[in-house]
Amino acid sequence: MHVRTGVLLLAVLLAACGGAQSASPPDAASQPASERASEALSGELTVFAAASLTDAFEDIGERFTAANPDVEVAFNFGSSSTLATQIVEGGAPADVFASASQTTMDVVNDAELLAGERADFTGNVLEIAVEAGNPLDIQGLEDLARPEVILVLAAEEVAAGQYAREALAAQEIEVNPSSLEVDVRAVLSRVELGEADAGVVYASDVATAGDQIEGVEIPPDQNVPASYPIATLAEAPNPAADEAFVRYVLSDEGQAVLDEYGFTPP
Amino acid sequence: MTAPTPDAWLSAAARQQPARGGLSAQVAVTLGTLDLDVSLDVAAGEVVALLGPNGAGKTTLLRALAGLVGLRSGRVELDGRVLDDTAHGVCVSPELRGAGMVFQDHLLFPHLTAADNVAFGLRARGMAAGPAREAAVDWLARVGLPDAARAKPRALSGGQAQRVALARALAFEPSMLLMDEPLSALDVEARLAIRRELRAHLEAFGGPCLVITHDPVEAIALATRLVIVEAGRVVQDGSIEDVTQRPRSTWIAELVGLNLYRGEARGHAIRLPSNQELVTATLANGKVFAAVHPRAVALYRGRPEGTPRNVWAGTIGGLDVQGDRIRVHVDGPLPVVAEVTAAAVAALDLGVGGDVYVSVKAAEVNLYPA
Amino acid sequence: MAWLGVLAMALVILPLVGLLVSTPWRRLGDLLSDQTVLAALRLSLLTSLAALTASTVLGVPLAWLLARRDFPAKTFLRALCVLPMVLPPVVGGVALLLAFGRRGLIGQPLDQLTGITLPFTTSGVVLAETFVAMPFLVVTVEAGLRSMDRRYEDVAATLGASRWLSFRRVTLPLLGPSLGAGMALCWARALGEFGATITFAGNLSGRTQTMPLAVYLQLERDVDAAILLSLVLLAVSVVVLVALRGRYLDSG
Repeated sequence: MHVRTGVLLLAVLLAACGGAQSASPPDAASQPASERASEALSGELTVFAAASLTDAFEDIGERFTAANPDVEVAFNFGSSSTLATQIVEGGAPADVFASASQTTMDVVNDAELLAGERADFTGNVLEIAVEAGNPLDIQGLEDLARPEVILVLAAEEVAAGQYAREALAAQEIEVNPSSLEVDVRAVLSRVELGEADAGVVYASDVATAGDQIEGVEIPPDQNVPASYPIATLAEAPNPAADEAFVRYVLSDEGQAVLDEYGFTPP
Repeated sequence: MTAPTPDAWLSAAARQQPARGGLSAQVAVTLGTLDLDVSLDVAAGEVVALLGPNGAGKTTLLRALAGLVGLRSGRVELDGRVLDDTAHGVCVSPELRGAGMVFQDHLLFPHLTAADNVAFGLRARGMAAGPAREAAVDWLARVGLPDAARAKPRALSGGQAQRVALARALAFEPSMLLMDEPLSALDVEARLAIRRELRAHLEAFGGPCLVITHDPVEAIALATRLVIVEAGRVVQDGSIEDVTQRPRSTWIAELVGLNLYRGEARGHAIRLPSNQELVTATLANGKVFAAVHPRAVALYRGRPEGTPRNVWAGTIGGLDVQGDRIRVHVDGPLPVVAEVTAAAVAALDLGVGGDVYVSVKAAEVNLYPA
Repeated sequence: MAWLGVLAMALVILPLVGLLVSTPWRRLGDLLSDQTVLAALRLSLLTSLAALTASTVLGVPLAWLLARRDFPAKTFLRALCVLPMVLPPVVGGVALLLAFGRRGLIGQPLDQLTGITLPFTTSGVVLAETFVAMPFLVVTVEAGLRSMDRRYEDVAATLGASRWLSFRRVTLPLLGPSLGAGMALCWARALGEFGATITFAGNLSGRTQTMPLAVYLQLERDVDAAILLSLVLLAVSVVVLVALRGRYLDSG
């Protein structure tokens, strides 16, 4: 207990000095797995997760804390690229990183900030979000090129934006978006507010959107599936809790929740 | 800047301006705690000095005539034009009235040169820049500042700035002139010099002219008629002689240096509110003012005997030295101010707090109806 | 007392120094020739100056109304006019959408009657920038009007100047310093505006992507580039502020 407190203090001090480069091996990793499993989990953990995971992860978070009452889970949702930058450049105090693209996880990995192996925990496919009732009768990607359709996509710097462009390019469809939003939630709200007629978002976003949104599926042969990796970060002060969280996400329960929110198996 | 040149240019510079009609005003204004209600007529070419204690409403009256303050009720007519008539809903805006105003602190536009300031009224009336500028430079010469055209107001002395302000007010040939203590902010030398010039310009100006001043000497120097306003009402309106010799309020009396009493006259006696009596040489009946010049008040140590005169006792409240004369303030049941020589004060050994007898001849009590 | 002033200066200067120190100067040439960057810079200057013009043309009369006239609910209306100053910019953006968006209170009839839409357009950017920046000008000019000696306007009136002429030739010049300061603040605010613009007008290079937006997105892709762009924006701001100061803020 005292050793763990000491490590906690040391990690906090290091974090305060902004040192994001050195990775000190967590003390708990030396403990045998069986012992870890029998310890009651406590402490705080911060999860940086892609914006599209907002609803699903909040749900998972509640279930996790219900099962482990002494653990506090805090979430920071944003675009995967922004989060990666915050972790790498800003030394943000993240314990777990769940990203919407492999490339953003690569960024964190290249900076040698991952504690261990990463795991693909879920997937997502693109879907076209339109106003309920689909007044402009949008059936597929080709309809997005119609001049009367006001289309918004996510910016290229964002994973969802990249995938959308890939999908359109693959079908050789040229579109004229009115705006390239900074994250995929903004794309959704444009359609919700009635400012845009269509937006390319994730299927998970459409599933959790309210009644104002209807989804138009993109067939698998035209779609660009996203693969979501999750990993714990090095220098995390509470590695047992972090790993437990990741395991929960990967468990049947966690996967069931993700499925409920429109995600696809990894 | 050149100093003002001698009298020769004064008469030449103050060219006679065309005759204009007069001002007829009945003005009632409520402004804050002030309740102003005056009736005033000023003939064309007449200069009227407005005097009164602070807060009496003199400035408000001027602003009302200029159209800067609205009337509660009343009528103002200038040079045959109706400027205000509340009964018929007439109210001409200030820019159309043609009232030239000069203020105590010149209020020259700080961002414009002297010439541009003077030309302002002309340009506002549509005159082209060139002719307006020429006229402005001409007017600056007339007020004794031929070289000041390009100067900014902050480069001018108080006297120079006030001359420019005068030129500015006159340049556009206004129908009437309104001046609010034009000389008060100037130092003594400037004040005397500019007062002379001002008088010349006012005489040359054809329209009615109202000048607010707190200095009776200035009033007498500039005006032919004095109007005294106290607490929003006209208390006296008359010639200089009339006001200075027969004041109708304590304030005026103090201003002109007279002792003033009010009472009920019956035959040769006046009964004062304090139940004392003054004996007079003139016969009168009814409510009267009684004025006594301080020089007519004699002081004695002991009670004097002799010819019919008014005698009463008092104590010395204060002594004001004014050159070789001393004003002695006598307190008591009938306060009075006496003006005696310094020698007399010494001879009588008068000091503050001392007892003294006052004597005024009946003939020196100046009576006039209240 | 002096120490507090020095501390305040340090608070302002240190981040700027941090920016200067980390700048990768070698890449400046490449970046400045990038079409996207030039487009963002041009758009920022264009929209901020347009917002400044709109703010001045609308804001000065508004300041006049608030300073010189009395009308019912004046205190409440004044608070409303100043509200965009304290509103979080994104909230401002949402409010603009609700008013001028395609389904907005004014936006919808505008679209139906004239076909004009404001979101996703450069005009929309100008509108958002004006919305957040105009109060700065209004507040400064109103203060200037209140502290002015009103007798100058009385004098102008007696000399025959109409209200408009008096305003143009007397009030405005006397207002110079306040107006200059207000315009500088307004323009700087418009140039730096991010939250309201992105929420209302969106993000599209050449049409709605202003410099702050470009910097934000670059931060995700290329941090060095983001730093450089920040510096360019800073340099442009300083140049214009110095130029404005010379003309207006020194009283004539």
